[in-house]
Amino acid sequence: MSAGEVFLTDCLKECTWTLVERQSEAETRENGGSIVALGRPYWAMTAQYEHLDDTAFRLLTAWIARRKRARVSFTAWRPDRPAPVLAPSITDSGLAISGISIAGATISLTGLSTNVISPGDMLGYSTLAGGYWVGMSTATAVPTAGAATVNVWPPPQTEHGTENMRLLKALGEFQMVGDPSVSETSSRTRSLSFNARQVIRV
Amino acid sequence: MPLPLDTDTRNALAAREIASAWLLELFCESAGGSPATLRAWNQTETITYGGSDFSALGDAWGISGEIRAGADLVAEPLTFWFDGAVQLDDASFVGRLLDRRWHQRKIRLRQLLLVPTSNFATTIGVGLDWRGFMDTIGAPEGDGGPSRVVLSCESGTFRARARNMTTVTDRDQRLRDADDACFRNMAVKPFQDIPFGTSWSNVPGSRGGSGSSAPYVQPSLFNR
Repeated sequence: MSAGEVFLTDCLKECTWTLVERQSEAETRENGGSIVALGRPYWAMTAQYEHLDDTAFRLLTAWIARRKRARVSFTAWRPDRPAPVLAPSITDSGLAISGISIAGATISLTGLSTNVISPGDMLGYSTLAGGYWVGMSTATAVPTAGAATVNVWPPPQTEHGTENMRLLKALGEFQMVGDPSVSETSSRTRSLSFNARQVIRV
Repeated sequence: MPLPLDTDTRNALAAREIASAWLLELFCESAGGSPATLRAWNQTETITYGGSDFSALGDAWGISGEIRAGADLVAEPLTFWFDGAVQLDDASFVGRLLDRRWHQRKIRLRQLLLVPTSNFATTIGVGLDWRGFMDTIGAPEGDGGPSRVVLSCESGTFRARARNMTTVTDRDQRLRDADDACFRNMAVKPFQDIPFGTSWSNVPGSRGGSGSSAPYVQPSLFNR
């Protein structure tokens, strides 16, 4: 099996990550209208590949076939934000989680050196349940002696003993939703797109 | 009928912004007959509430249909589904359910309200409390459909009103207890209502009589 196989980026034209909040939505909070949170949010992803040459198309369709639609999950990072915006040369080596707060939606990190985490930067690590948590920084975090507490969203999950903290290409786990849309044409105009949603291990 | 909400819960509802989750308790028994309760909720982190730990099942279970709460004494059945893909795994939640004694055991579903800014970590209180009994389990499998274990439950109200389809005569009761004369005059009391544990004079709306002389009621199909 190839669960956890990372997604392909060759000929990737567009890859959009959307955070899906789960809550009831009243039009007004007056006269009985309430906002009810029903669960933690999750990531949804769309990927679109265009101008695939013969080799890239064969590799991509084989990758799709290995997914067996939703059966075999894969991992993906957010191509729009592969690294912290103010620390593009950061390495993941030495990064560690010193604590998380689910209620406060924060992650305390060590090993940051002087690298600042900016709003919108992506973070990810392995969870205790054997999955991946991936989230986004919501505020600037300036490290002191290499340590900082980062406000994140979605709220973090309990980390694994070996958390594999990542700021570079932070990985989330996804599964396909529905069948991919494929266009097989001659020359280099082949295209393929698919939708996926995050897998949350509990 | 208003639900007995505590002050914190009422305040949260009045603030128009709350978080809601479902707590599920299945009061099963082990094969040996000892209590082996299964507890879960529909979020992704384990929580302790009321001194009990609730496993994080996320969206691997759900409630089918709608929960109804009425003031009238009618059945309020409820159906739950569980992810059936892991039903053969004895360590999974649904696997443990199937391995235990569940039939006609109690079930409790509670809507838990939480502090919305706590990301499902800080509880407020219970807004809805549904109790019933586990009745049937099915595991429909078919092409194209999801693999689910379906648990149908009946509410406590329905069970309380259900008939006990047995008839007891004086002779039956004497076999149990030779000194128990409770059913002594059953054979001579056809079509008569018999107040149990009280005298006729204490029954509102009765037409008189006493504990020893119950009023005769004309047999009627429409009067039963």
